[in-house]
Amino acid sequence: MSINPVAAASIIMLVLLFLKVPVFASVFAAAAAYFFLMPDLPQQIVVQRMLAGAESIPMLAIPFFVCAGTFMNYSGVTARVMQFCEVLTGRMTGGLAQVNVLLSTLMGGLSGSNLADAAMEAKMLVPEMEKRGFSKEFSSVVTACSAMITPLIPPGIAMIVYGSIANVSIGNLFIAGIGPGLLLCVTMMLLVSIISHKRNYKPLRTERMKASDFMRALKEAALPLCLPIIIIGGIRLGIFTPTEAGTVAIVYSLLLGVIYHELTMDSFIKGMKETIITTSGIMLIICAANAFAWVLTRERIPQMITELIVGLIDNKYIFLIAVNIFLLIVGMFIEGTAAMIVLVPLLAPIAAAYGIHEIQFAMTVIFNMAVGCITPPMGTLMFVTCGITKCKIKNFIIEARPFYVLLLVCLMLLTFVPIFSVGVLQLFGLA
Amino acid sequence: MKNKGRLLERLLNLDFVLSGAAFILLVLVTFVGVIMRYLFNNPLTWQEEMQLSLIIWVVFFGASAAFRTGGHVAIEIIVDAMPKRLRFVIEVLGYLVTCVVLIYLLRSSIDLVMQMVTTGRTTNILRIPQQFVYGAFPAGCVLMIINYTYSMYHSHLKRKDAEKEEEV
Amino acid sequence: QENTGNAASGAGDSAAEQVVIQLGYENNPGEAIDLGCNEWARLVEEKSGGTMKIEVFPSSQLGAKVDLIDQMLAGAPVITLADGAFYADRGVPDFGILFGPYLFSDWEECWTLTESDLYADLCSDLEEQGLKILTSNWIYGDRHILSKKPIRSLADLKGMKIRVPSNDIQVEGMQVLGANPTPMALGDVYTALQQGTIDGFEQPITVIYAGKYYEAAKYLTLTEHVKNNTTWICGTDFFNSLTAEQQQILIECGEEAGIYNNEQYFQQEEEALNALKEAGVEVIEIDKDEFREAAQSFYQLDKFTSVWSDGLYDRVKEAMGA
Ligand code: NA
Ligand code: NA
Repeated sequence: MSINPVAAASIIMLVLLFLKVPVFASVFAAAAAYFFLMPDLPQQIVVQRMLAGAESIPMLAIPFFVCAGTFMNYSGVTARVMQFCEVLTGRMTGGLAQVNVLLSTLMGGLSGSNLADAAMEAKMLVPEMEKRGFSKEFSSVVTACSAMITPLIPPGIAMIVYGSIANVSIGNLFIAGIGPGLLLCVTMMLLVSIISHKRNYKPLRTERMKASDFMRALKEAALPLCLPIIIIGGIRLGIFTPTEAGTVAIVYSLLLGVIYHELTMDSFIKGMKETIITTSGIMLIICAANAFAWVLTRERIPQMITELIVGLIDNKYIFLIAVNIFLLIVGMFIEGTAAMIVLVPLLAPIAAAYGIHEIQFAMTVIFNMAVGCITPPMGTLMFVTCGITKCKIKNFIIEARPFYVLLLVCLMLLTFVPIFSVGVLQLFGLA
Repeated sequence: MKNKGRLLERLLNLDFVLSGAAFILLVLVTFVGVIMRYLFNNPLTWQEEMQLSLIIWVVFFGASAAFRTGGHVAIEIIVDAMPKRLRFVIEVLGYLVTCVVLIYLLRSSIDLVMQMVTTGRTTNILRIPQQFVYGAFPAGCVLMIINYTYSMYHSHLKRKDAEKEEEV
Repeated sequence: QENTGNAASGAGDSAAEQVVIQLGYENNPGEAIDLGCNEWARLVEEKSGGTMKIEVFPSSQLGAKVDLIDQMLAGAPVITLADGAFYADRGVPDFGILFGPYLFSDWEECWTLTESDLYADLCSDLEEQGLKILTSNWIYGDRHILSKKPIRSLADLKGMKIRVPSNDIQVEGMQVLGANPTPMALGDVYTALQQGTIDGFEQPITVIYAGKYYEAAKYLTLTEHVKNNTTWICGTDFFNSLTAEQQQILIECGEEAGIYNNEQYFQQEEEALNALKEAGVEVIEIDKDEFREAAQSFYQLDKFTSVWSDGLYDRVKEAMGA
């Protein structure tokens, strides 16, 4: 009896994933199992493919933007932007919860990393929220869900990675991301408002915002809020590439840390540690995914699946629904970037064949992967947030239900109504 | 006893130092590269190969540090719902599988590094011997095994202590 | 009993004797190289009566060139394309000169050289490094510059940031023409052009057209600075494990497919040039003598002459009949 090596490898991966084996080791074990079953193949290919996963210039965006996001938190930048958000949302029902959402949106312009955003807000904002009567679960859910906005607002790691895999202009992806980012921000603030009304979470203050308060907060936050302009402008003017923009953000945040006298050697080392641990964790999964992607390619699995899908589905909308269901499931199990490496080369050409706008499809894929970050069993944002706030995962999931519904609605809007994904680009005359 | 522990901690921190130094260099090379290209119209021809070499060090030494601090994500939800005894067995099993994977990676990456040595591969422009770049891979594997074992041992000890307290 | 190469997964007994070779390259389906490779695969299957099989993997599906070469050095039954600049970095420095700027003035000179004893010696040097050249008669293309600003003379090129592949030969080859060579991955070029990170890049016209780079840069200067023939290589050990008959089939079919590739190439080049003009690209003819003269200093660079064998440039010139 002969076993199909790819099927065997895939089963091994799924079993190991559920047995709490680190994700990179599970994915890699699948690739290694394939090589074991194919003894004629030179074994070093598998190592080479892993290295190739890291040896890619666009992938450098991951360490750079994680680092920039982390240093923002240690340099006093985030605290200033937070004060600005407090002034803006002070009179809204849900007070600090609104600050939480808005902060992620504004920080989105400074950082490309959802993990850095969630970690920082879980540390800084959640304790404050609890003091003011928000439940631990609600605070954690708002923090984790709103952190999804950060990588959608440019710059964002996922855009750089997607653009380089599918050969789509990264500049255009950045700009297009503003659409879904703002959509999430507005709808999430609405949802927070509704829940806060029900639970009687109070606003921060009752009196109207004073112009002088606003100006003071704006002045404090002015320098940080310049960064998005520097980044987008720099990329558009050809001063640096999107990947290089990450180092510009790092240098800028360090510079502000010095100007504000808040960056110490201790906090610098702490920030470096956080950066290295987060990035090497993600990058190792990407390396393993790259090795497994090679196995799939060698066995011509993408071609087979493409033929299968094109043969079965002849309607663009059914295709989109199928892709959404598929991606949501994949996103639950595998880290977003790693999944994109395997799936985008397979799906993007099919989508193009159905006449779907490349940017619209990109946004759909990226959004799906973002949703995977806050769903069980493997939601990195959920883990990071709950790890810091000590919220139980089970309670988190129960509390997050209305947010899951909201995300699903947003996903449908993105998938089927082009204006949400390509609208901003059209506004700039780029699509 | 305590001094010994501290020495071990310091030694274990070496991966962090190497990864961190590579990261700082990586940021510097990239940022200086932008300045040289845009302001001085004199791009660093070796920028790309330097970046791609440094990231290997960042990732593989960093991956070792991540084992010490629980930075490697795993799907815990199912195992954590199991009874205590079964959970322990599965965790040990998972540890063994991961070690087998790491040993396999170690062996294959040593082969690759040896091939770089025998064929005299260097980077294209700076002519850095490729084994110095890829050497981080096997080195990282060894460190990962050590760190994983260390952290498994510690978390097991902690659990034993907690169980003892419960009995008291 | 010769049985190298891996049988495809799930292959039955009848196919156990079959030699399966994987042919990987970076070009995309439909390009001349890809058509040539499919022709090669067809010919091999036909002439070997099905005992040999070539599987083609376009678009870097099996890995980048560097990876494929490492794979074949480790014994994998893999074939890929590479050229002089690459072999120079793999232990045969003399090979680099083939990629020097303005070495050949026409394709005949190139073919005369590849038929010469000097070239045969280079090939056997490379064979000792573990890489066996199967065929050398495939045209990759005349390399030209696509840029955001017009290049009408050598002076215009001065200081422009031109992307080149990441190797010494091509970096210096662009430097002697006065440009600022900027190595980066081809995959980043479109965005880099669009955003002005680089001012231009150099490739054959077919590549320029297929990658839609003309959307981001509107001036094509026909510099023809490198006549780029390419070679197909496999691992020496793998090659020696084949029977003499199999070796012959592989090489002969490769040469035949090469001729097919070249026909396709010229046709595609012409089509691409017309399509570029239609897309609003200004095609600029230059005075090549000025460029050729500037390129001469390349062959005197210490960096190269110190590693090349004595009098290489003159011997090459002689071997190519110039
Ligand atoms: Na938030
Ligand atoms: Na962002």
